[in-house]
Amino acid sequence: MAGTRVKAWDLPVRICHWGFALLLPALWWTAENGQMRWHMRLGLALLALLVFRVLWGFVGSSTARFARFVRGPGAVVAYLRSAPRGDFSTVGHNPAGGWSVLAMLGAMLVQVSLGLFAGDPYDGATGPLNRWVGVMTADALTEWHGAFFYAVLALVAFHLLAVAFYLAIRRDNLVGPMLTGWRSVPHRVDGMSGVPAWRPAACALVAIAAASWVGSGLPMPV
Amino acid sequence: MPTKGRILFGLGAAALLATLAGCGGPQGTASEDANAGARPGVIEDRQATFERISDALKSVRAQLETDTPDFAVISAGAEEIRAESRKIAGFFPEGTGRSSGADTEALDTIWEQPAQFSAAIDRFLAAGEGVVAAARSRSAPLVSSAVEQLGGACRNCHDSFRLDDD
Repeated sequence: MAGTRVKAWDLPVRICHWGFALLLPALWWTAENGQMRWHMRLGLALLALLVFRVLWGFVGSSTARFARFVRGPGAVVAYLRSAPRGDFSTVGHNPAGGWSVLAMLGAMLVQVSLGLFAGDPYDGATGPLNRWVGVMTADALTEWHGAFFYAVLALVAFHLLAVAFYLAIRRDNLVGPMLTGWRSVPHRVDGMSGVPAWRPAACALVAIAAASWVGSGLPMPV
Repeated sequence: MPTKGRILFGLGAAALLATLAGCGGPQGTASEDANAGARPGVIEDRQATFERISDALKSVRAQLETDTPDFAVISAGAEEIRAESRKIAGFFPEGTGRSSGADTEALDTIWEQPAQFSAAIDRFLAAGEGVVAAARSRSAPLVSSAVEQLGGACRNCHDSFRLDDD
């Protein structure tokens, strides 16, 4: 695609994206193969990444912000009608993709939260918040943790289909920009506007602290 | 994860994980003749029995979490644990461990150390009797202590004879 190159994704968004892409298969594999110690470590890493991404959705660069990419149903319908033609006036998540992002982040948050309570101390590993709930509740949450994975899987599959659709029908490679942060646009559009570097550092500190606190079972200061 | 979900998931995973070589792992695809010497379905039956023991134990533990434990529920759970646990010794014919390729967490140490395995089952049977007796006493502290003994007997066997899953 000829034209100008503009910045589309900042480094934190890209790290979150590829972090999710690596962690989800790793979490599935460790669960299937009984590597529960690793499953829990990676689960807490996913929690930290999710907390970071949510914070970044409020204070991050322009294309990372929920306020910018979460649009009403009218915008979604209008976008989907124009989707096969491929004209766009901004970089970042389109109105349909924005909801896909929200759904995937929400589903991963639900899945991680279920996992925190999962397990049985009489039978193998337990999530760090398992002791906060009764044995039957933990049993139900464990079941849901196993079942809800398919909801996460379905959303990821839908996302991959959409990416394939953009590549095959619209001749628009979305993977490259998610790797490099830059994308080509056919005509002049505004690129991403960034924020100072202390913000991702602050968000990362909060995210790591929050995940560590949850991971150690929510100890209260006395 | 339930076995029925594995096939469904395998299809999705194959597509999704195509870029991650080597993630297929040692998925247990039990071949029909892998445990030719054993009664067909013995692995499924023993897994169902351990599931029933686990569920019955959970029903007992749930009562212990309440302020007014229902000793009828506790007794029923204890009786079921005892009845199911008596089947365990017959559930491990040779050729039904992990080395058979079956989808099981049963380690080969079961057949390499038969005396220890037998002792571990005996300890579990005794602990099951203990829960039944404690349930009859209608004393929550006695049931709690018996349940702890039983849990210890579960873990004792899992530590040596079941694939480590934590």
